[in-house]
Amino acid sequence: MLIDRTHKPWATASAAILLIAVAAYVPYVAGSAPVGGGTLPGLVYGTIGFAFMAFVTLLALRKKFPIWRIGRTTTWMRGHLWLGALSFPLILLHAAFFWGHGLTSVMMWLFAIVYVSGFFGAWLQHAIPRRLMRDVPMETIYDEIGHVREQLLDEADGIVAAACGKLEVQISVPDAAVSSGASALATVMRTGSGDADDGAPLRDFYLKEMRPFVQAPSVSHPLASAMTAAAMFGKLRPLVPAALEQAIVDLENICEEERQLLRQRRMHGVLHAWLIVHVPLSFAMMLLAVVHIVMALRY
Amino acid sequence: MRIRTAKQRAQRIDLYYFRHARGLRRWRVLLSIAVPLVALVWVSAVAFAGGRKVYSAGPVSIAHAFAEMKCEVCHSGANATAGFRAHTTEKACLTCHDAPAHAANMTPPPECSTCHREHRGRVQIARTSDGFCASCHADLKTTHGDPKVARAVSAFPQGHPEFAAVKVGARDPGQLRFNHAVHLKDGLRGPSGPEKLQCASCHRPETAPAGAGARRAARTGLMSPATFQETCARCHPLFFDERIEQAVPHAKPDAVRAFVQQTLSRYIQEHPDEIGKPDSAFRRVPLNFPRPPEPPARNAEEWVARRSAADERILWNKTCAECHARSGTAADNLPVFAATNVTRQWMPRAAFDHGPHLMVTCQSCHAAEGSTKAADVLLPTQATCASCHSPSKGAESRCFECHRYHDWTKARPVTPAYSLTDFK
Repeated sequence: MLIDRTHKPWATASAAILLIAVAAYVPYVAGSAPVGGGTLPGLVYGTIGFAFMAFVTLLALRKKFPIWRIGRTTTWMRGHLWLGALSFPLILLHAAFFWGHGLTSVMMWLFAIVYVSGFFGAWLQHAIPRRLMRDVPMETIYDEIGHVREQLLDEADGIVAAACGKLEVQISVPDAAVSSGASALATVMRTGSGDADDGAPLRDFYLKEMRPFVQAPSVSHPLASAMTAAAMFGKLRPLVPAALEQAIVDLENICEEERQLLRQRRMHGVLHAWLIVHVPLSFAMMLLAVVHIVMALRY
Repeated sequence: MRIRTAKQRAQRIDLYYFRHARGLRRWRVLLSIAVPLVALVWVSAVAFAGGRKVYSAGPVSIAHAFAEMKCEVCHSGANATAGFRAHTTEKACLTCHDAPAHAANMTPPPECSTCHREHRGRVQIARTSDGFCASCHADLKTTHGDPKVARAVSAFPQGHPEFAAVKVGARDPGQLRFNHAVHLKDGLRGPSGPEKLQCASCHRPETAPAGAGARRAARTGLMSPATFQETCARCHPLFFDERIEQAVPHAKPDAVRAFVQQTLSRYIQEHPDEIGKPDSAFRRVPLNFPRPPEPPARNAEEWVARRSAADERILWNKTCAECHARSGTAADNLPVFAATNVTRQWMPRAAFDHGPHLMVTCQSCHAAEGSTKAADVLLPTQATCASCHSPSKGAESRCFECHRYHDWTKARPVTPAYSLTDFK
């Protein structure tokens, strides 16, 4: 989510809460009375901080059930951002800036990691989507990249078969067939109307260079670079009749789409990898926070 | 021409793709289950093993470290409050420490935990923050009567009044005539020739004897009061008669008189020919008003009486009066000298230990070399202490460095409530 002018009320409210909390903390810590999580002010800070943490964690539940009529997801997301940003300072005030010991120390470390990763994620949410829009116009749903690639391979096979008359390729067998005892790969012959001899250079190029790239894209493959790809297709063009120019253009286009999908996967990884740290650790922290509350109230 | 319509692109998508998490999303889901599970297993394992250190708010102080693994010593058992809660109460502290109150007229005393914060690491729990002291002493209020200490003390050195002993107009209450400046001069006549006295020639650390609660003799941190026998007698022997080699004891006048008479009697028994000899002129006191010599004594008793009277005149008016102030005359014409009243502890409300300060010269703190009057107070001022003892200088400057909250002389014995097995 982009933090823009629409966040102003949230930002103002958060700043006000933080200001009040710090203003109340100064006389509390300057006084002679003991400070810490077990004192009345400490408990107040802890309760508010934990309430914010709980709300922030509930975003996962809200996302799991998007049809629940309990506020707009954007509102929840804003709350997640701003109340999450407030929660750690409040917990620090609760603990009177002691890092704790044992369970509380573990929680503090978890919270610190979750907090920092959250800020990192928020920054990524501002930087990466813009680049994604610019560099990956052929973006697709991330989870569907593999599925789209299979279709691109099939499309490329079809184009080459149509241009070259026939094409013998190995294709993946559906999982259901593999489970019933069939081999994972099957050899199929695709035919088209093109002349086999004229299209031989194209077929060879496709089978040796392009198909491995489309089948299993890798950044180390020559076709992963737009410049190298253009040079390779440029060398191919004089070797085939002009009638196959359209097929080459289409294949170039498929390579470009593959490159963009590669880029999308990489950017998506950068954009979402922090969540692998942020989400699991925040769940663990909430669990430990409940244990901490129970034990702290007892002792 | 490879043309893809929106419909074609849409058709490439599996509409139920979201049902199966792949890649990063799958890892996220798996880890979101696994990591909290690991946390749960950890907490459960600790609970199952009976370990509670993980729930501790921090290591306990050095004094309580022996019971660190036994939370219930303070948090439950006889000290527990009813129900689920097991907070430490005042009773838990008083089970082992029947700490006496601070002052009889103080406003309601705080709970132990107000000043002594536990679970703050391996610290000395008695070393409390100045804030606790200042919470009362910054604006001292009492339940009755006026406080005997300053009403507003917040910290040291700023916010601390000057030591009472060195305030303007303060005098040494001692009645001993002594001139430090004279005694610290070079080339003093000593028994073995010229010598230079040091502070330590007369002032030595005081040692409290074993017994009365102390298992072994220990230094009190104060300086022993200088005694005549240990410090003065070496250079100032109390000779009283030119015929006698012995000096009178440093004792009460009646004991001195008895000694003088016994010694003279013994002398005249050993030298009976002395009875008929007249006194020499220089024996008359004062010499500037010479009197005609007395006729010789007729017998030993008269000789002793005459010599005793003469020797006592020397003793009472010169030898003793050199240091002691005569305050009157008792029966038998014996003099009464004022009690020396030497101050043993200059700061009765504070604890000072000379031991840690032995690396600096005495003159760094005590201006004795320039002191010519016995009434001079040679105690250092607060500024002298603050040259090291201030937050910016490094040496400890918190209240507990000099002051004690509890008056441990009034401590009452506690009834043991635990056995060694309680801490295993």
